[in-house]
Amino acid sequence: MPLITQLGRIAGEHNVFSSREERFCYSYDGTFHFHLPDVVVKPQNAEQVARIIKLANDNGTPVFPRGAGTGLSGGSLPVRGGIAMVLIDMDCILEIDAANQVAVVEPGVITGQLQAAVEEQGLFYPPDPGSLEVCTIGGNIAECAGGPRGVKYGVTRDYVLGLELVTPTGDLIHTGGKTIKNVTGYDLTRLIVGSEGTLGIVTKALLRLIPQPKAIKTVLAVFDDLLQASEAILNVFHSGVTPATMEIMDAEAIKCVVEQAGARLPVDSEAILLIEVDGRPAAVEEEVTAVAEACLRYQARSVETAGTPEERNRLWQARRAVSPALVKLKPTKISEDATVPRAQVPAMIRRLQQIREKYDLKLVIFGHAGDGNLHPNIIADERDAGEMTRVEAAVGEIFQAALELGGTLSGEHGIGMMKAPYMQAEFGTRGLAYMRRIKRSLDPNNILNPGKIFPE
Amino acid sequence: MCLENCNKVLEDNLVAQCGRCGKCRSVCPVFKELRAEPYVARGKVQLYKALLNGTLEATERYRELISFCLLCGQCTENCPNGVETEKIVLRARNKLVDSRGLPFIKRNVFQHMLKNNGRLNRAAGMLYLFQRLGLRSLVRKTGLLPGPLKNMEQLLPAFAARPLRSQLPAVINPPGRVKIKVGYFTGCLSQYVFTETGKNVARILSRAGAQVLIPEQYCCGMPALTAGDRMNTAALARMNITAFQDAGVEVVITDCATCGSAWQNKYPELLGEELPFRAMDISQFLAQWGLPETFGLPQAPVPVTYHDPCHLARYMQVREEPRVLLRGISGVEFTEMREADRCCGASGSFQLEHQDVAARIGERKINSILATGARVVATGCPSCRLQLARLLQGIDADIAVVHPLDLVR
Ligand SMILES: Cc1cc2nc3c(=O)[nH]c(=O)nc-3n(C[C@H](O)[C@H](O)[C@H](O)COP(=O)(O)OP(=O)(O)OC[C@H]3O[C@@H](n4cnc5c(N)ncnc54)[C@H](O)[C@@H]3O)c2cc1C
Ligand code: SF4
Ligand code: SF4
Repeated sequence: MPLITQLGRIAGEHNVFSSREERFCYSYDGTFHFHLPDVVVKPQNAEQVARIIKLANDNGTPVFPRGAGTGLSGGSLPVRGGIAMVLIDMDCILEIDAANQVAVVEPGVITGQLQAAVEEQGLFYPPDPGSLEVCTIGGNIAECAGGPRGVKYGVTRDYVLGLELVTPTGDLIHTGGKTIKNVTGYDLTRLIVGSEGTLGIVTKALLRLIPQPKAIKTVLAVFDDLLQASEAILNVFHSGVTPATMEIMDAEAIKCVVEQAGARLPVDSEAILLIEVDGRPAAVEEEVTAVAEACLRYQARSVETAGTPEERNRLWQARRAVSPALVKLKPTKISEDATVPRAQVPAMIRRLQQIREKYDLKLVIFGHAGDGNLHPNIIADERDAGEMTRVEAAVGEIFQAALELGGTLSGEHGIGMMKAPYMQAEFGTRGLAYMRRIKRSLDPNNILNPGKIFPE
Repeated sequence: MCLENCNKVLEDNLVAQCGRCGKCRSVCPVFKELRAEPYVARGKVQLYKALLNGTLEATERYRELISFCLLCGQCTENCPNGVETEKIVLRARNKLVDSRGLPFIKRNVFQHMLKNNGRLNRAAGMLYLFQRLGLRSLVRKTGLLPGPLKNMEQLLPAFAARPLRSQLPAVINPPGRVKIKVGYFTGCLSQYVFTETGKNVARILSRAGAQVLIPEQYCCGMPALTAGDRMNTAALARMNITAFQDAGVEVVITDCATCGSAWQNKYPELLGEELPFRAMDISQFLAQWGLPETFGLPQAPVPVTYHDPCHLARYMQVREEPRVLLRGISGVEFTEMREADRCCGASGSFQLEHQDVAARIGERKINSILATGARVVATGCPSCRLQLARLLQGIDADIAVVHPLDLVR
């Protein structure tokens, strides 16, 4: 029986797409790469997922799990044809257990929708990737997604208590549970989080929730000198404040939003910091003062604070305008997320500026300064082959710089296929071999998302 | 040759703008129903891009996927890159028409019927369009409006007994001095179906001090354009512009969001030149000129809600004017519905081809309306009006559907 027919029997014919046109729509994600799957299937429950994986093992067909397809490292791309398995139809919030502060969800639940649902009960699911209106919890878990709030609240990993998953050989197992403490056996939950769909398909997740912070305030500080801004960042932490978010924009990013989006910022400033503190109202007042003082101590040209939603929104405008403003210059945005320890942020920024000059590229820096997860973004045109070659070389140097400064290739976007060639540089031969052995023993037929994480 | 090249560069740039971030998945009404990538803006833009670069061919399946777009503009409004999916889809459809031609029936309609008025008024083409729009199923009025309002809601037959323009003189003079010469573009639906609305528009315009000119005119062309027929649309645009120019109007007034966006956006774009006069929706005009006098609803306040037609809200940026108008009518208790500017699912050729999906999209709109408790829903687009009326009738809801001007007496 042809594969398509068999998949149709398992998931229902209308949940299997085989036309070239429909398959094409599953050949891309948030990157600029394309790989066509042989067939697309949308399983409706865990049992169907397991049967499909068994079938794939029998046939030796690779399976590429996919959520919303917003990944920025090519994680969901069917690099070897095979089956694109789309998990968005499994999208029930099964339980919000307010007493234990745990949510039980299926993998296709959209991050923002989960946040809205728990908020109704005064609870909070902090991970906030920029794509939260569309990306799925399954994709977040597979990539260990982060976001601006990472600096205070951590990343997806810090909120996954347990999982149900289909193993690469088609067995349904569960890991962890609703308890905060759990040291029974290997910590498989943590192994799966960030495994990019190579070690199992998440079919259910138990997520830790925390109380919604009562108050939030925002500070916008403009600096004439990048170095002073970096010192201010460190000083905020020294003063005992852990801000909820701490975003930075460099001179190039500022220029871009002023010129392209009409943002009202001094165009000759070198950096702006956007800092938020949240928590109990009295504490927030105290902390916001400490943050403003730290900025002023390091020669901030101006410091503004805001408490109401409208005012905060206004302060965020410039930051939100960056991405749209960039694509007005050129259409292809290569968003890297090499990450360094917080104290190395100034050094990393300097390296990035050198790279920008060396390769004559439009490279702007904005991102999460508080946790060292800078997002150097290169703006190019994918139709310009010469430029794309320079981009590739620059990206290689960005990784090298991050590693030299004690950092890592990726803070939150994952390795996928795009950063696989650089894995060796971070882990060395032995480290990589150890990882490969885990993959081989769990997925002997190399069915689940082959071609990812490991260099070929 | 240069034209072809320029066109190609333009198209390349339109599609290259999409960064594949997927954000449109959070707003696209078609995606919400069908939950598969080909139906979202990102999918359609990538499909067309693949066609342009030769990765895909113009197969029947491709044509079908490209037809799954309401052209509602919600994706563009929320797209961080400002990708104009509506324009891209129109170009994709246009390319299909250029290479494969229109299906016979549509070709007939667009080429002959739309350009010929008079004797051909009720020819098969119009009937085809109207019947497919669901007119036949609207057979009764709800009869729910209190007292004097009763007759404001029209009985909705397949066709009005007499077309609007045969009931109105070609020139209507205001009671006092002529403050401005306006051309009234009746559109096909006020001409043949909502003739009472058309009469209200003419009367209110003249009472506002305008001399109302109603020259011989043609379909605005949007049905042809959304099916991919740029050529016939451009021809209709020329004919309409000439007709109103010859009549010497200072401003063209529409009471249909779709016609209005044809005049305001599409004609200049298609012809590559500015209009020789301004074009405005009636609510825009009244916001500038003021209502002649505000007659209220004579009875206890009636809760009224407003549905934003895509073509008014997103194509013409008309959102506040109809609300101000409604709020200004005494006896109207205005209540806002949830997602007032979400597409109702009508979208001309979309509902012809995809009745089921259109109805499902419409259902969400109906639920928003029902949640307000309104007895009347006003909207500035006759196609939305038909869709809403049909859907409300389908569930026996006691709610009347009107043009905002129908409440001004
Ligand atoms: C505009 C934009 C902003 C972004 N901002 C951020 C940000 O701030 N922080 C951040 O961390 N990321 C960000 N991202 C990247 C991306 O949104 C995240 O990686 C997200 O977690 C991907 O989710 P998805 O549902 O789209 O997954 P996909 O892209 O479809 O898949 C991602 C990976 O998850 C795997 N996968 C999907 N579902 C499952 C499952 N159920 N079980 C096992 N594996 C699965 C896939 O195989 C793939 O390897 C951004 C992306 C965009 C386009
Ligand atoms: S159309 Fe806009 S919102 Fe949709 S994927 Fe492309 S860039 Fe993103
Ligand atoms: S115009 Fe409307 S229907 Fe078409 S892709 Fe955009 S949001 Fe979807």
